[in-house]
Order: sequence, then C-alpha cells, then structure tokens
Amino acid sequence: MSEPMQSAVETVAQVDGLIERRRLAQARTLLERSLAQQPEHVELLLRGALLDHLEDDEEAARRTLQSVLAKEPDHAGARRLLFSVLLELGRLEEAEQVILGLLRDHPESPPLFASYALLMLRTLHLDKAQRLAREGLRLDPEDAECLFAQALCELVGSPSSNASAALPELLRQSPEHAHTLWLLSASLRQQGRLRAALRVAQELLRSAPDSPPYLALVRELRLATHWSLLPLYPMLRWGWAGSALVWGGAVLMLAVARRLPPVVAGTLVVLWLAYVIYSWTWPSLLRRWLARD
Amino acid sequence: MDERRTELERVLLSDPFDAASRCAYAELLFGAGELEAALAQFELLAARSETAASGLVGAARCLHALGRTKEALARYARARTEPGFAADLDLERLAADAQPASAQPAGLRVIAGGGGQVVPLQAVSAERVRFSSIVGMAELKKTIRLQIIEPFLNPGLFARFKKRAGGGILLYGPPGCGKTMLARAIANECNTSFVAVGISDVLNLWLGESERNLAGMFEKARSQKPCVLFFDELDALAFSRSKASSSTTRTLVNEFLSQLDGLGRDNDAVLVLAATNMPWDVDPAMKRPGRFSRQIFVPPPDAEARAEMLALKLTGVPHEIENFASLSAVLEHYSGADIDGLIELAKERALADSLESGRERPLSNEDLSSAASAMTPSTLDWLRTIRNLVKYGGSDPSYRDVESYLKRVKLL
Amino acid sequence: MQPLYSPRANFFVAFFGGPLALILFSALNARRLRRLPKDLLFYVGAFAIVTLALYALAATSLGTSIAVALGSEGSASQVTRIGSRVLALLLWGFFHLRHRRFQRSAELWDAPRPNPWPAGLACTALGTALTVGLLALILPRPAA
Repeated sequence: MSEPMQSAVETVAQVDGLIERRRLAQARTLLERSLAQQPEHVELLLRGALLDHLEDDEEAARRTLQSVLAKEPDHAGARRLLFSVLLELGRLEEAEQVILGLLRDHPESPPLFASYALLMLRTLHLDKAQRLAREGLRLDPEDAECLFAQALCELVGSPSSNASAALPELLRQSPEHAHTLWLLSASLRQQGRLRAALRVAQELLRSAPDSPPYLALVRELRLATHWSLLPLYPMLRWGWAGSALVWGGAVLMLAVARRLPPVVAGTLVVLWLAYVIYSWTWPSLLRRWLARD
Repeated sequence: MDERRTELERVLLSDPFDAASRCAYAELLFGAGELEAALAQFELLAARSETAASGLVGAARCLHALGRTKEALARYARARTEPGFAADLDLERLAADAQPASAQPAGLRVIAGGGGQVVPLQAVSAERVRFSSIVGMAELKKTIRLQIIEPFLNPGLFARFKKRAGGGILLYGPPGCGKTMLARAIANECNTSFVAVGISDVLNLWLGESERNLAGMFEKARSQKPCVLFFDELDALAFSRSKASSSTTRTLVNEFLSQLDGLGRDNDAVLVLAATNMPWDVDPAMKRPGRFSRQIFVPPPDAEARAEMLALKLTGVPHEIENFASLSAVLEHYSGADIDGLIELAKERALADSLESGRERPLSNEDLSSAASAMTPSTLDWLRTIRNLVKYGGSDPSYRDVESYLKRVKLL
Repeated sequence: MQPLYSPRANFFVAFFGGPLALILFSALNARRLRRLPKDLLFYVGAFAIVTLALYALAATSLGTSIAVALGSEGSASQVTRIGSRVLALLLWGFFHLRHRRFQRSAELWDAPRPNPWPAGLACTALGTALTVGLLALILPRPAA
C-alpha cells in the first residue's frame, strides 16, 4: 500500500461528507492539512477548487482547475466543475466549449445534456435547449436534471414543447428538492396563482433562510400579494395584457366622462390621475417598506 | 523499522479494520516523527467506538507535538469520557497547567437580591457544570427544569399525569451561546451519566460504519440508563434528506430516526438532547412527535448574564471597572465567545499602552468600549438569518420563541 | 447572445415614438436574438400596415369620418396621431408575443438589460423622421 494515496482517498471522502453538510471551513482545514503532504494530488486539488467555487471565489477555482487539467486533461470531474465556474464568471462561450468537449467524450450522459440545455436557455437559444433536454430524457426519462431543464423549457414556452409533463414528474420524484419547489413557484406565478406561489417560496426560504435569491423571491411575492396592491390586480395577474386592459378601460371612461356633468367628469379625471400616481409610486414604496431591516 | 512498517502496511491493506495493527502503525509513525500521518491514523481509530479512547489520546499526543495545544486538550477531554480510557502523563500535566487562574477563588460577589450572602466566583470545569454555574438564562432554565429535569427526578409524579421521562429535545441558537454547556448542566442536574456525540464520533468514510457507530452510541446510552445522550451539531448528523445528494447521508438519517423511535429497543429514561446552529438543515422528520419534538431556543446571553460573565472573566485581571451592568448594556447580542474576544482585545490595548508608557495600568472601561467598537457580535449573522425565516418564511410554531426574542430585542 | 431590451423599454418607444420607431427598436431585439432574417418579413409587413394606416387616416376621408363619428371636435390629423399611437401599441403587443418566450427566459435568469435610452432615443428620432417623410410622400401636395 502506498500510505499517502490512502490518506488522500480518506481525506477526499471526508471532505465530500463535510461539504455536503455545509461544513466548508472544516472541510478546508482538513483539505489543507492533506495538501500540505501531497500538494500535487489531483483529487485533493479538485476538492480545493470545489471549495473555492462554493465560497464564490471563482477565479481561484478556475486557476486550480486549469492546473488540474494541465496534469489530467481528460478529468471529467474537473471539466464539469470548470463548466460551472465559467458559468458563474459569465464566460459563456468558454463554458460551451467545455460542455461540448464533455459531451463528445460522454455522449450518453443525460446530466451533460441537461447542463448544456440550461446554458442554451441562458443564452436564449430556446429551441436548441428544448432539443437537448429531450435528448437527455430519451437517454434516461427519469433523470432529474433533464426533467428540470425540460420543465424550464416548458415554463418559458418553447413552441415545440409537449404539454407540461416534466414538472409533475419532478414533483413525484423529489417533491421537497429546492429545484422542484423553485420551478413550482415559478409555474404558479406564471399562472397568476400568486398566493400559492408565495406559500411554495416560503417553504423554499424555510429550508435555506440564508439564501439571498429565495429571500428576494419571497419579498417579491409578498409585494405582489399585498392587500394594498389589489387595485393593481389586472397588471399583477395578466402582466402587459392587464395593463392594456386597464389603459383601454381608462380611455373609454375618459371618453364617456366628456359627456357627463363637469363635476362628475372632473372627479373621474382626478381619480384616474390618483390611480396612475398610485400605480407608479406605491409598489416601490411598499417594496422598500417590506424589505426594511 | 522499515520492515516493520512495510509489514503493517501490508496487513492494513488486506484488513483495514484491524485496530491493533492500525494502532501499532500509528505509534510507529509517531515515533518516526511523521506526526501528521500518525494523527490521521489515530483519528481513524478515534472514529471507531471500541478504540475511541486510545485513538483520541493518540490524536491528542500528535496535536500536542504539533503545537496545537488547544485541540490536543479538547481531544484529551473527550477521551476521558470514553470507556477504556488510560491517562497519559504528559497530557495530564498539560491539562492541569491549562486550568485557568480564575479557578482559584480570587474575587467575591454579593448574590443579587439575597441576604448579603457572599460566594466566591469560580470557573467550573465542564464536567461539573450545573445550572447554578450558568449565568443568566433564568427563563430558559425554568423551562428546561420543568420540561426536562423534573420529569427525570420525579418520574412518579409525571407518570401520574401520564408524562414519560425521556424523549428528545433540540437546543438551537447562534454559535457560542452555551448550548453544549447547557446540555452538560442538564445531565448533571438530572444526576445521570452523559454521553456526548460529535460528528467525528459517528461519521465514517467506510460504508455502513456511520450507522454502526450511531447505533453503538445509542446502545451505550441504553446500557447506562438513566442517561443523557447528547448530539452536538445535529444538522451534520441528521442533514435534511431533501438537500442531501449522497445516499449514505440519507441512510444515516434513516438509522437515526429508527434509533430515536426505539423500534425493538427501550428508550425509556434515555434523554436525547441535541444542539445545532442550523435547525433549518435538520431533516424535518427529526422534529416530529416522538423524536426531537421539543425545540428550545438558546439566545445570546442577556444583559445580566453578560455583566456576570464580564465580572467572572476579569477575575484576577487588573482592572478598574466598577459598573459591569452599564458596560454590558452596550454589548447587545454578544455571545460568551464574543465576550472572550472582547476582553482579549481590551487586554491588548491596555498592555500596549503599558509598554509604551513604561507604566503598568489596569484595564479600564475605555479599553472595553474601544474594543467593542472594533468588534461585531458573531451572533448577528445568525439572528439575521433566522429573522428572514421568521419574517418571510410563513408561520412556523417551532420558531415562536425566536420570534418573541427578536421582537424583544427589536430585530423584528 | 447580446442582452435584450425589456418589454417596458419597447412599450415606451412605441408610446412616445410611434409605430415606425417601435418597428426599428423591436428589430434591434430581433438582431440581438439573431432572428432578424426570420422576423424580417413581419417587420416589412408591419411597415406596410403602418403606411396603409397612415394613408387611410391622413390622405383619405377616413380620418375625418372617424373624428365626426367620435363626436370629436378634433381634426383628421388628431385622429391620425391617436390612430398611429394605437397602431404602435398593437404592433408592440404583436412583437412582444413573438419574442415573449425569450423575454421570459431572460427574466428567469435575471439577465442584465442594456441601457435602452441611446437606442430608444435614436429609434424615436429616426421613426419620427420616417413618419414625417412617409406622410410627405403620401399626402396630396397642395395645388400650386
């Protein structure tokens, strides 16, 4: 036995366990101790890069991964992580090259198709995203990542998508998973069921109260479901169509008001102006008030 | 030596669970001065229940040799609670030297509201801590006494009301606020044995070993009834299965749930306590009835507690502070650990001044105030996170006491 | 892929700039989406509709008839202005529906939006100039 190799294996397993349990500081301490003995060990370096990525130090992660890939250019784990790091850095073209390379080497890996699909969604190549998600599901109809990508495509309304089947499948498979809940909340929001979306978002926040995106989501939904925004219901429920509806209604009302006595017409005009001012100012004031610390 | 080493490595390759060989291998590495490698081997031994004591002592020796004295003492203290513990002379001497000077009665205080009775201020070793040793937290101690301690001490009375002794209680709160100390105090108040379990006592990289270790801990507690079984960092041991990506984590949680339910076993008179800084990461099934159904929030020390802590920690230190109460008022949200840090910072200031002026001067109010302005309480992050949960996460009865606390301290 | 101008920016260009400004601004989004060849037909069609509408309202008696029918004291030119604005908003709705899934995807990823002011003002100015030129072409010249 080569004792250093076993130690590294043990360290990697322990670090993985600690990372899963969000004990990043402890994982880092353990890893540094091991790296002091074996500074060139690829798996240890990879875990170091992962820790950097989890602590949002993407540049450090990228540098470490480049050094790992210089030693082992085909290391799938390192390339996968590099893909995620490049996405965080906003270097989408480079990320695409990495994922394409991985797909060439592992053409039957559904999660890779899912990752590529998500990248295509982000770069607004929606049809391609849909095709990739479908291909991933063809390889494994129950792959959670592909289901997630497919559900996202359905959510944004790819024209060639099937009736929404991915989200129910995700709910069946992993109803408490953060991704599933987030998708559910987004889907409910799109359907205009804002209170239901808020309840789901609150469940998300309860599972991770230190997550800024979840906090922002709950705040937005609390804003949208606040009683004082009831007069803005058409806009909140139907978006731009609702705004057009209200605007058309206002035009009609003002046209009719011309034929009414001046007092009545004047009152209507003032009310309308007050409504316009309210719709422009109150939501942002309320947003600030709800977000006060 | 090399032959012996090669032989041991060959044996361990074929049977990694051979504890005797691993112990010998660890000693060999220690003797050869390969301290880090020896430490890794001793840690492996410490993770197994049957070699925990020797593993922890060995790890403590390695850490002491590496100059990491604090960690060494912590390991050694844990080793003491393990069966089969054998004292190490060097480490005994180190532990004795590390006893704080304030263990000597050096100051007096009048018990507030009492009849002028005076008692000496003393630091208490962790093993002997009782409620009376824990400053402040009056309401919390009262709740715990009623819900936990009295059922243990008066099982007959509670049995007439059909209330069983035992069950699970989860202590949660910001880090450094005394959850672990409280758990020890509960055990001492109940006059029961105390089995403390940390992450490294359970988690093991070998498949199935973590579950075995956990089951072993429960068996140990059952064999020492009545007993308090305390799990520190519960969120790591019972990490939410919906967030876990590995099946080993889920299997461990399933085993934990099974042990708590006492299926086929008798959990009566075993009080299971747990502590966590991240209750939202604990698997929700752990908080259901029959498991950790009671959750108690352990807040940062209140003003009275902070004043007493300051007085206690400054015993034996030259200072001219008369009014600890007014000082503690500006230390809102400070944990015990924060107060330690504050005092150290203030001492540095006083010492720097003394050295510069060539004249020793005592610690003053200004030193502490100045240190406080340079520090932020470590509990604030946690309190802000839990505030998000309480304010935006919808109504959750398990966080009612946190909500009251946040309103009281005007964070909500 | 370059980031898209928001639906709100498109709306304001339509409302204040008119239909031709909207066509130009929306075409910028199509270009950013690399869909301009695909959507070109629709933009050409929209331009044709705008031209027809302007002609119908300004150069024929339709504008006056509508003004009379609405009981308005205004003139055909007022009707042309209002009609042009309504048409701009209708076109905005059409192109919004056409690009809606891309906008949804951009919102989902919280994609940053570019500053719409330079392009919006330029399209408004160009649109206005085009409208004036178009009207000059289609309106009958006064007899010498």
